[in-house]
Amino acid sequence: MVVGLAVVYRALASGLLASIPAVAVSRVLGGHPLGDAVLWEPGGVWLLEVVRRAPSHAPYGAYPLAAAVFVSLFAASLPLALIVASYGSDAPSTWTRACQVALGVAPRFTLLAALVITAQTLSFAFTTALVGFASRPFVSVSDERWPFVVGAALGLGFAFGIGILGDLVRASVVWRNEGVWASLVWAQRQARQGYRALFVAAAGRALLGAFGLTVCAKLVLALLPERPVAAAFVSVGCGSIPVALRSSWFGAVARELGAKAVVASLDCEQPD
Amino acid sequence: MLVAAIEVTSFAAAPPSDPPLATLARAETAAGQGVASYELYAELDAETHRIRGKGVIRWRNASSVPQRELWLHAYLNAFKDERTRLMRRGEPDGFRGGTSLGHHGSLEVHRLRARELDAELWGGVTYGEEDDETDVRVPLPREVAPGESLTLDVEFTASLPSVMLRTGYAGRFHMVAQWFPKLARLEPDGRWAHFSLDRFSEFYADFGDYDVTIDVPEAFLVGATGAPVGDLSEGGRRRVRFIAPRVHEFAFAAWDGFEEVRQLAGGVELVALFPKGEGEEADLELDVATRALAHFAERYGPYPYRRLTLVRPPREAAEAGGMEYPTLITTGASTRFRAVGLRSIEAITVHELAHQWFYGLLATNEHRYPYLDEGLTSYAELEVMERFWPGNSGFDGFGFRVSEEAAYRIAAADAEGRGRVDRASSEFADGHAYGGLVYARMATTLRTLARVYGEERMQRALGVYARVHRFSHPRPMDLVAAVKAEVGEAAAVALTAAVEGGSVDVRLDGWESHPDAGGGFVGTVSLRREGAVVLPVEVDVRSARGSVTRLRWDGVGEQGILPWRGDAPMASVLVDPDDRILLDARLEGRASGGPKTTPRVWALAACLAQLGASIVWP
Ligand SMILES: [Zn+2]
Repeated sequence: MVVGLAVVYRALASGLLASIPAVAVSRVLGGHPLGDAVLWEPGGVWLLEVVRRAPSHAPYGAYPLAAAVFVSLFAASLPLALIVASYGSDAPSTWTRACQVALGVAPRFTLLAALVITAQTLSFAFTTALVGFASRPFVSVSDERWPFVVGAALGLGFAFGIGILGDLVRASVVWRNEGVWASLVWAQRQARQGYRALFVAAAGRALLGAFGLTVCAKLVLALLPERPVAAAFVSVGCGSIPVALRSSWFGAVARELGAKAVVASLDCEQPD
Repeated sequence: MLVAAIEVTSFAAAPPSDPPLATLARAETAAGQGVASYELYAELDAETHRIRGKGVIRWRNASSVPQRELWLHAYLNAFKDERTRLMRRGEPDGFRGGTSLGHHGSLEVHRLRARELDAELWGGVTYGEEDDETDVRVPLPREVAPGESLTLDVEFTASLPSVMLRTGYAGRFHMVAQWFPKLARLEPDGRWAHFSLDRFSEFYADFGDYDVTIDVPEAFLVGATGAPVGDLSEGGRRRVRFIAPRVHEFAFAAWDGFEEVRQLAGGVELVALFPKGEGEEADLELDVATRALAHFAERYGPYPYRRLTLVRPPREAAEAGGMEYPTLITTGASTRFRAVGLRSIEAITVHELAHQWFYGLLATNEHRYPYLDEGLTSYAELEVMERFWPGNSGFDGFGFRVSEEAAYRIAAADAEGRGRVDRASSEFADGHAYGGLVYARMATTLRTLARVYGEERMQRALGVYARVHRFSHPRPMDLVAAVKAEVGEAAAVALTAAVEGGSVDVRLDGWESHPDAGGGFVGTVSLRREGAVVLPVEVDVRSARGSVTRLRWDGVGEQGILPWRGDAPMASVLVDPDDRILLDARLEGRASGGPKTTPRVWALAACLAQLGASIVWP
């Protein structure tokens, strides 16, 4: 039920987001007899023209757009909070209670989402640049892709770790109803103690998700030129894959930390 | 394929006092057409990055006016300090020269003695502009009559800068260009075409024969203008003598990090020099060069030299890449771009090769008319790229195919309204204006003429232009004349309007149809054209039954009303359906009546948003 809600939210939000380029592009194309098929024609004269001119035809300005991104982060935190809450030891029994919990943690979730995304982007960019820079004296031009691949892989690894930590913080916010900072302290302690199990649980699901999304992307790309509407529906359907995996991941976190959390708190009570 | 074709002939191990030019050079420059010829001995100190040079410059007053002065260019002095014309311009925006100068360069002349005048000339020199010693005026003690020759004994020291713009060193890699005192070109009317080196300026000189012996550490490989006629290693040094008949510049690259691959291409020996580990790129460049050489020979006349050297600078010296010298080009671009579907390595190779005609053989004044070499070269580049990779010469990935031509069109569109294409390189405000107008807008203009008036006619025009003016110094009017003769008066007028900064914008003004008495339908399509460039326009009208009628308007005047007759009401109209008028910066307003929605774009955007959602949303 909660998973379905999240999928519906994603479908609506992505449709709204999609409207920005779609409206801009159709304004540049005007009433071209070929419609948007002209964008896929060899040569790409109209394709590049659309890329060049579409920004000035965007239906919303920069500020409304930034506001929309913020609102979408806030709105997206509601279904996520519901998912996390459903695995808590005192999971809300009624919808009213569930919504209260979700609304209660939504501001912290929004802040967290912004922090996590920023940290992931920065760490990825920094790692890629650092590896590229550090390898300069050792590799020739033709090997340039290797520093990039290594840097990107490392960067993805860091971003992945930040993602896990972020989810532990989210779990703490909902399950223990703590602030972001207190949750972060708790989360990093949990992560240090149970890193192996957590990593296996997260990586397994990430791989599964990457595989599923790759298959979906291929399917969508194959459908797109001839049956665009079907492609959109498939992509929305595919959206349930990451949602379901994320949900099961929080389940795994709950199982893993359910025991550990008690041990951890006992540890704290025993002075050494 | 490796071809060892160096003939080791008589070798001048010592600085040439007056050695005979190799028979090759004599044969290829029958009738002594050379105006400015150079015999030089260059000794490279790889540690101090200095070249000690000495030799003989032979110059003939080929103008109709007696001369009381010579003008020499000493372009390395552009890197002498921060006050030179070049350095004053600061870091350019959107063009080469982005690196800061780590080490200054200079050209110091110790001796310039005219044998016929029995006079040392360097003592009396002055400079073309204050704080800049790149443009040197050399007064003569007496007049040199038309047809009279001077033999100048010269000695100089060239200090290379850390690689900047096109010349200099990086580590032990040396790209040695603009390294010797070089005569400016004396125009037939007796005026010297001389100029201080500017940020966006390239070069201009007379044809002549070059005989240059390059003395480098023994482990160094040397790639240079011309072809080697001797190669001697002795006492830890290596001396290679290069002969280059009928060229107007001499550059060389020397490095102990080079690897070399050779290949024969239709009687021309291609030599690729590249950093270790970049054999894959070098092979690609050789393959592209081989195919492009055949194409250009067919279009613009045969490549008249026996060797072409491709130098791929190491990454630290990327600034030296993507440059043309007679019979020597430098390449560049990383394989990184290939991974995302961009053909940068191919495009750079083709571009620099095309310069062998539009610069090398047609030695236009690059300072005054940069669009004549860069614009025509870019046009020739587009032609080859499109022929080799039709429809996807620029990019191919994710289901989208983009031609280089379309990419140039965008740059040309962005440069619209930035003024004349036809102006001296020193008159461009920044690199974006220079690149956008001189390269993109000129090439797009020529591509537009080819698409509008026919590829074959345009090929003929440029083929005639290139053949008639080879080994000479054509001017814009020569190009316009060729276009006028082979493509027509209207095309020549449009070309002139475009290089004067004109634009063209055609769009749909309105359309209507109604039943006529005979049971069919009649209607009109009304078009609007703005801008100084007049071009004929085509329109496709689709009826409700799907039949398409093509209408034509000569484009003269601001408005054209075209009558139409069809089997059903008009359903949609598309102006310029084959995208012939690439010079038009705005495609909006060209179509009407087509589908209002863009389902694929919606779907693609929604899919991308879903993908993004996996990162951002739960
Ligand atoms: Zn060029």
